Amino acid sequence: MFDPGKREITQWLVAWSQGDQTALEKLVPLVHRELHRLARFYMRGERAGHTLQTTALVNEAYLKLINTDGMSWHNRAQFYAVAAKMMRHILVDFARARGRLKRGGAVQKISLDKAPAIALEPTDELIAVHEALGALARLDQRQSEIVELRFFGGLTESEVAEVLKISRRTVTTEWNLARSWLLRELRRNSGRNDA
Amino acid sequence: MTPERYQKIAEIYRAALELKPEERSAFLAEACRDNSALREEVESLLAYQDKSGTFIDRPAVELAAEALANEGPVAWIGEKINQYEIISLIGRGGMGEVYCARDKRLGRDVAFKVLPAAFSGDADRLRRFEQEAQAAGKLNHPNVLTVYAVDVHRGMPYIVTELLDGEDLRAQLNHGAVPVRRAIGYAQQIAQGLAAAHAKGIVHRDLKPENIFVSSDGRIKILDFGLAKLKPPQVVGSSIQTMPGPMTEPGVVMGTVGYMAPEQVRGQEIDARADIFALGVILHEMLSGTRPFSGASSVEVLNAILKEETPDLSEGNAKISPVLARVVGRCLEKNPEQRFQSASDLGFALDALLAASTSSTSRDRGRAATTPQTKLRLATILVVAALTVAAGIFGWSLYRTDYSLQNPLANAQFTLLTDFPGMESDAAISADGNAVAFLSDRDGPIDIWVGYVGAGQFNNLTKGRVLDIKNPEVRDLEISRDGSQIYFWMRQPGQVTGIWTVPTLGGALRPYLDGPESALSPDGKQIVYHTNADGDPMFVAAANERVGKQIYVGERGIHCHFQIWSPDGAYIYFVRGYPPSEMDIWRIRPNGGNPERITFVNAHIAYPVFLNERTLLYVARAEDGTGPWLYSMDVERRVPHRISFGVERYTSIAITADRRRLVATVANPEAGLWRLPISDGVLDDSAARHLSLPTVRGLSPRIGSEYMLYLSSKGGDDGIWKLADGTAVELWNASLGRVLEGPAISPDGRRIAFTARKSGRNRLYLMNADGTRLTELGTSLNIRGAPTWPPVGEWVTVLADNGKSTGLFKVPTDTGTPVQLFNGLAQNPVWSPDGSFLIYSDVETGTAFRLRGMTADGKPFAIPELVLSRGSNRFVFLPGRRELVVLKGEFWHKNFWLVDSVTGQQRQLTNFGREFLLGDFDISADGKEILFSRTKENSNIVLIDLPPQ
Repeated sequence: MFDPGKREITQWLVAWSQGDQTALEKLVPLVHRELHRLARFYMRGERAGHTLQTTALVNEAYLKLINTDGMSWHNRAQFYAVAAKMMRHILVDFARARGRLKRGGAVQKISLDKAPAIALEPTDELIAVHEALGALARLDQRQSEIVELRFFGGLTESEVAEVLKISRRTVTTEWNLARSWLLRELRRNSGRNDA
Repeated sequence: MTPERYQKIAEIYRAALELKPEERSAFLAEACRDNSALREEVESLLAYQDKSGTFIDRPAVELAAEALANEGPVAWIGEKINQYEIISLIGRGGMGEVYCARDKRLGRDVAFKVLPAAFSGDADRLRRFEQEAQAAGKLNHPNVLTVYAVDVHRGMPYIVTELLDGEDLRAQLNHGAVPVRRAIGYAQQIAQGLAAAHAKGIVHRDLKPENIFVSSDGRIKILDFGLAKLKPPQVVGSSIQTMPGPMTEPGVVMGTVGYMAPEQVRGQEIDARADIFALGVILHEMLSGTRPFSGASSVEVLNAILKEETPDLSEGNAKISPVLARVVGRCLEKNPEQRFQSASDLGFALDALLAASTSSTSRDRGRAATTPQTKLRLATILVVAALTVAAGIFGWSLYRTDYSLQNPLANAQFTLLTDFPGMESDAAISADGNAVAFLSDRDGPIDIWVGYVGAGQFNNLTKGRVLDIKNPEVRDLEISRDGSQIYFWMRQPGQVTGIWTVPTLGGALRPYLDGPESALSPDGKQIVYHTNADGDPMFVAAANERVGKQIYVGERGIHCHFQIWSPDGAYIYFVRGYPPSEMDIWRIRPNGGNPERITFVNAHIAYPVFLNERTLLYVARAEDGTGPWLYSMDVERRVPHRISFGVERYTSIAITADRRRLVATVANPEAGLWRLPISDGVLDDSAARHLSLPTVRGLSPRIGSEYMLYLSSKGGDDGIWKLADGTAVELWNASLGRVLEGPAISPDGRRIAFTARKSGRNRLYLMNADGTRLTELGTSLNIRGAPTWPPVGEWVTVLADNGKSTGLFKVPTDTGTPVQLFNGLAQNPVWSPDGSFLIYSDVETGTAFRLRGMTADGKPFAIPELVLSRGSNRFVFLPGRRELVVLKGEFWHKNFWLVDSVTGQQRQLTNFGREFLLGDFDISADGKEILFSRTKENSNIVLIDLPPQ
């Protein structure tokens, strides 16, 4: 079935990927809307513990934003990549705005020791990952892409493999390394802050 | 780290991953044989690979959503609520979240504030909040956030306001103190915004830097008026007693700790002066970077507010002048009585400080020798004066309906000339603008004072020599064109009542004209004057003669005052009607003919002056009876514009020959209730006892058997309050209509009748003594006064006109038709205790009127002659007796007298000092006590200089 809303999303994504910065502004409210739907779901107490349910919900949100069904865009993989970048952009902006709101100042990095499954300040970690990912890209471009697709883009490992045209096994290994490196980076940075 | 090194590490890491954990150590030792640093790197990374359940394993959107959810209230982004589409979050605070939203209907971006759902529980509270937020938002004041809408969406209250670009004052304060000049400018804007709100009876209650917004162009906006009412009371520690009850009742502590006034900390009733305290704290914080009252905990802060002396800002800070420090100190007085009494007073003081700092800086340029003392003195002169009175002139563009006009006082400079306690009135200014004369009670009696602008010294010219020198409805003073003489109105036994002269430099008083007012034509060749005869006949004469040609006379009861010539001499403008509250401006040719009515407001109008060929400035009460305020009108277009928006009343205005400088008197009147026993002797001031009221002020008391009514307010215009068992309840709020005179309690005490002015019309209302069952009576009539009850009967008596004639009407309290009892202007009717006759005041001729009587069926009823002077319009029978208590004396100095309505025998009850300005009163049910209101003018002289043309 033709859905004009989704069609618009696709067009804006394309425009954005081609360098039209204003297209992102059109996408921001859509992402925020999904974010808030999710948040309202959490609000009702159906949160940690119901992992499966939550995951389904997050996937549903992504599907709403990144639904490739019936699109003429031949390169589905490229679309995922653009969508992940878009999510990274918007979510980091969102997290930064919240950091400013809460503290009226620069974002502080939080020590991992204080970061259990449900972090005190999940959005700070989001920003920390974004910043560390910049450094990782200079060391290993593919690993940073994997993190972007998986963490910011919310893709499964199989989807990441499809987008990057690599084996699922490689995704697992490379994710494992990138993840360790990022966690260590974050720990080091917060350590410096604590000093 | 280089990519090459990273790849080296990665290679070993991948290989190690392939192995079982226990095999890794040996593998690493082998792979990094000579390189312990490399081995450490890989090991430190491997340490993380088995840490599961970290945040990074969950999608970022989930983290973001969870963070949102952790915050509490539901976020609304993406929702469409009515015509608003919520776009993004701007801010979040204790009182809700603010979003940027798009108003689809009007195609503009707005700020959309969602209040916590907890606030929506109490519908009544929400409704009151709505009223207040709407009222504040509709002030249309540049320093108050404009509110577009207040509504509730699925139980979630929200406010839609203008969208601002900038940051709150807290953000600026986070960088430390604000530069002195900017801080004063900010405070001055805050004061102006507060003044506008206070004038509408709206108190902020929670002023703090978080509620002050600084837009990117430097303009201040005050946010969140009315919100404090909704806020749940703060629990601040055991030292604070809070009582259950509605949020804004005394006993409940509100406001943010640190900015709360002492009376607020104590949970007492607060008024506009609590906002002034908060503004003082903010100004202190802007100037010094710290708050004046601090402590480690809320309780300590509150203790400091209550007990600690206010630190002196100028100590150890050369940038802050002692004058500025004194202004801040005055805001922070523990006792509200000692603070600035209004935000516009404060605004005026800050204005003067700003002006002083501007002029001294510009003068300093190129003249380095200016001493700090000079600067200081200039500021001191301006500010010390400004510490009591102020003027608030702004907001013009929002009220005009003829767009060709500019606010004639835009950019004018206001300077306070006097700061005397008590009353100053009838300011006059010399043609050259250098001398100012006025009436003042500075030395006790009302005298003529004169002084020179800039000299800072005033001389008393009459020194108590004149018995009665203030006539409240005419222009009492004028300075002759050459500046040598002062013309003034006076009444003295054995002398001509009318205009007299006194040399400006002092000397003998000489009679000038047998009439209360005169005005010289622009060419100096003619004068217009009127006499005290019925209908105030007006005459035009050659300037050096005393006998002129009559050009106009009104019908009996009509008064014609405040004659002025138009600048071209073609017309004489004057104020015509029934004083004090049914007046309009008219004009007539100097040679007579039919007069032409210029205004149609039917209200108190006084002191017209021409600002230029076409612009008339005058003081008048607003349609709803508030004021007097300052008005301006183009005499061709004839649309009156109110141009003063502060809380202070403009009581007179005058202008120089070149029309570049004005002098005005502005007042902040106070009124309180006092009680006095009725005894056999003559009592002095010491016998009167102040009655402490839970409200700001008290006027027009009315005593019932089980309760008392009086007029008061919480800061705005007066409503009806009921005091019973020590508790005051507001029965009628002035926002519903301004109450005319005191309400009338039915003989059985169960009902209350009163007249209130609403939408430019007087309406007669009846309600139960608890404020319920409000009905409007006599809707077919044009009501002209307050009602009075007969001792028996289901009707009230009221002065009104039915379109054909004016007279007293009997208006049934049910649905019956009003019946005319008497044809004629019978004002202030009062029934005798047995109901057999009533007494009323006849029309005023000159400045006096006679009491007359009529029978219960409207026939004349002879009573002994009793003449009273203007303003004595209240007289009350002793319960069950034939004696009346009346007010006798000069306009400005009256005393209580007892008059026998049969024999005419009179007995003086009091001999009060002149500082006792007696107002409305009532007699206790046992006839042993008088309860009266006493007013204080609290006025001062303000000089208004128009900017150079």
